[in-house]
Amino acid sequence: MDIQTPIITMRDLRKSYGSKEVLHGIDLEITSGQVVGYIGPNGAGKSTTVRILAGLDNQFEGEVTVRGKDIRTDALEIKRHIGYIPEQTEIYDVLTPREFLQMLGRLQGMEEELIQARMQKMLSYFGMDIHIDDRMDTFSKGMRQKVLLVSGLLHNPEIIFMDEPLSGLDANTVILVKEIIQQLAAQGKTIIYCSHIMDTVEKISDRIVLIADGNVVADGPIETLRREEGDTLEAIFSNLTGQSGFNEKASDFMRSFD
Amino acid sequence: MNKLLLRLVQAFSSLWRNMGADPEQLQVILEAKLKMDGRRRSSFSQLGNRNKKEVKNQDLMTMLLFGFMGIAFMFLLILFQDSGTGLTIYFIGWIVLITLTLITDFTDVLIDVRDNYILLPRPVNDRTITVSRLLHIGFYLSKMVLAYSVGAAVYLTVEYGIGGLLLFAILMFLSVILAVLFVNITYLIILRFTSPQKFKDVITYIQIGFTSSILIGYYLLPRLIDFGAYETLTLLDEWYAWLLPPAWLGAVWSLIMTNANGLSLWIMAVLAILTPLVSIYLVAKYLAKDFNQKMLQMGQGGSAREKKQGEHQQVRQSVGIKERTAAWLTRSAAERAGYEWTWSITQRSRTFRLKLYPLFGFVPAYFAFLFLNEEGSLPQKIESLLEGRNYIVLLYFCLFILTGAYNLLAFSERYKAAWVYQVGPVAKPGPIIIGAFKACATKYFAPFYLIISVVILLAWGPGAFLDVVLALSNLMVLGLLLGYATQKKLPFSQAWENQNKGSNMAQGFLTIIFAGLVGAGHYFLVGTLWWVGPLFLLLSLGILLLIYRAYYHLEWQEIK
Repeated sequence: MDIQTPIITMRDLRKSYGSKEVLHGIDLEITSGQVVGYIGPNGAGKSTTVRILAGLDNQFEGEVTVRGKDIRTDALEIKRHIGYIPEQTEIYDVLTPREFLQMLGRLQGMEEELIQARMQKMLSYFGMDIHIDDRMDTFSKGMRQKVLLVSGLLHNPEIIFMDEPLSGLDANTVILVKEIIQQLAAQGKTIIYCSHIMDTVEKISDRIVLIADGNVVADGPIETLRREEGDTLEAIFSNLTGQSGFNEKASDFMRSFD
Repeated sequence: MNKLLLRLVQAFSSLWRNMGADPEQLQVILEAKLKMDGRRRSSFSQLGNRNKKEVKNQDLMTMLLFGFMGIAFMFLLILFQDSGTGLTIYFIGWIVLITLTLITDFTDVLIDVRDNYILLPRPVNDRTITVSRLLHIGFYLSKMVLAYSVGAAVYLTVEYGIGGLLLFAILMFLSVILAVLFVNITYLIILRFTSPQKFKDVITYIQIGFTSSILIGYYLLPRLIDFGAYETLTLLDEWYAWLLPPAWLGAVWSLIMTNANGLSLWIMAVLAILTPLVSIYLVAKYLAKDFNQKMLQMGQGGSAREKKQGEHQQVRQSVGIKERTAAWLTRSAAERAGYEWTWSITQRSRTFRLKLYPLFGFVPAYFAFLFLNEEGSLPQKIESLLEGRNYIVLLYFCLFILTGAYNLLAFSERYKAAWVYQVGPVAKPGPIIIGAFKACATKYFAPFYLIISVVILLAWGPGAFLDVVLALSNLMVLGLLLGYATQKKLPFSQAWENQNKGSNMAQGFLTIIFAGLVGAGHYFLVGTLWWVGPLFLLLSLGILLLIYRAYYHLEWQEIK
């Protein structure tokens, strides 16, 4: 696919839960090979957007295309090319990593030998190969997260949606995952990365999209945003989400002890 | 067994493809789901055990239970002179049993929100997921069918030959499809007309309703119905037979095996065959549409505003009673914390409600079972029940509510949150546990006991008042005593999986023994001399105080 052609487009994307609208008309174009840091305060609509893009939710208004295809009508075709790492560590935990990943690999239509070889290899980099035949209901949150990361990458997807992928991981694994993301990007993968950890987002993203209350309030490369809105991504985030005066707030907070 | 079932799925690949499902993906999903079934609720799935053995005892025990039930229902086939009627009753029992099992055992599967995150982002269509769910349930049921039908199959083969056996097998198959579709359609319709957030609540109440009616029906029906008069009943001639799908199956049997004839029988037989087929088509074509999307909403915020408003209302209503009773009944901060947590958490725990609420139906039904005469009409039975002081037994049966609710308190889905007890400067856990006991007694036992007392005072007269008060004091003594002896656990600190069936039975047994002994003392001693009742009450209150103090001063090292 041409690198300049948008691989993901959202036109006037709106989503409501009952009478409450949580996305108020998002317009975005993401080109192939971009790593987009998709950030925003809690409840801003980040996970909702990602779930729509991953084809988990088709109850929305507006137009969403992935690889030029409509997510509503061509969801199956699109899902062959995407990897999704959800925010919650939702896994069938009575299965072992081998059984779980085998099932997902087969659903993606992968060859049996490839599934086995790749899962072994990928798990080994996270130190999880020794637990490949252990049931996951005994795993810690970090161990489950590692399996989830492998599950999203196993079929070598072209587009990857990551929703807080570093949650529960130890410091070394965090460094490893950041490196993996950068190398995936270097290979031309498109990555939408949602997180609250600003320094990671700043380090790995070549474009930042900031949403607040269901609207895009900033969109551009980190350098541009720095020039226009603040020195660090943390400062940009605070300025654009209308939050400031943290020093005073902290002082007020401390006065609660009086 | 699982391999055999999966091969069967493979053999019908073209059928699944015609239904719009992907046979290869179907195979993959079912393989994983069957594996998960083998490990469901097993003790091996608990923390600290990392082996991968599959436990099949759970399956075996359920199959044995179904086998026994099947043999019990088989006797109906012998009892009724009209075999079509016998078989109709047999299928009523079966369909109720299997529907109940399906709802209770498979709720987790049908509303397993993990599917949303694991299966929906993959290139798997809705039809494949729906068919996999139906087949998964079908496999589970087939094991139950085999166990339940063995008794009847042997009897019918002896009585009617191989033809009878074959027809019975076909009818069993149709009955299973009817049961599955009934549950599936119910679920899909509820999903269509309620918000996904209310879905689980509705299902919970259906489960509670089913469990209660089975318990009540089991104990009450044999006492209310004179079976002798029904031996010659021909159910299929009754007008309401049309409304009973099991009667449709009985009609097929009557037509083929007993040479019976008639338009109504033919229509019912056609219904027996057409309904499953039409229902499968309707479910696949119309109702299953958007099912997975609705399921997804259940895992998310859904209609956030509606949910929040509902929650606020609920909380506001209960806070008043909770806080007022807490202020009256507790005397330290730790005790109050135990009281209020228990009040709030039990109210919102689905599992707790599911396990406790059927007991409210069980207690009066079991009383009726024991004390309603087998002979005579219903008014005669009630009249003879009101003679004497049988109500004392009913009062002591209320202990099941108190101990039943209290025993459940130790367990929670969120048992890991029990760190909150350890992190605070709580000198002794006793006040927290006593607080929890009081909340349980106030919220679940007291209203029930009050209703039972009012009914007793209305039916037996004010003379029963002393008995009601004395029994209340004795029940508190027994509840605390049993709690102290068997339940030195903090509320909501254990996983449900740790709820040991063996110790449950032991607790149940102890409850019966203690309630029986004290109740018998009450029944035979009070009323012999005027001062025995008040003395018994004083004694009871004294013991209550002693046990209360012992429990209140429970130390950390005594906690399990």
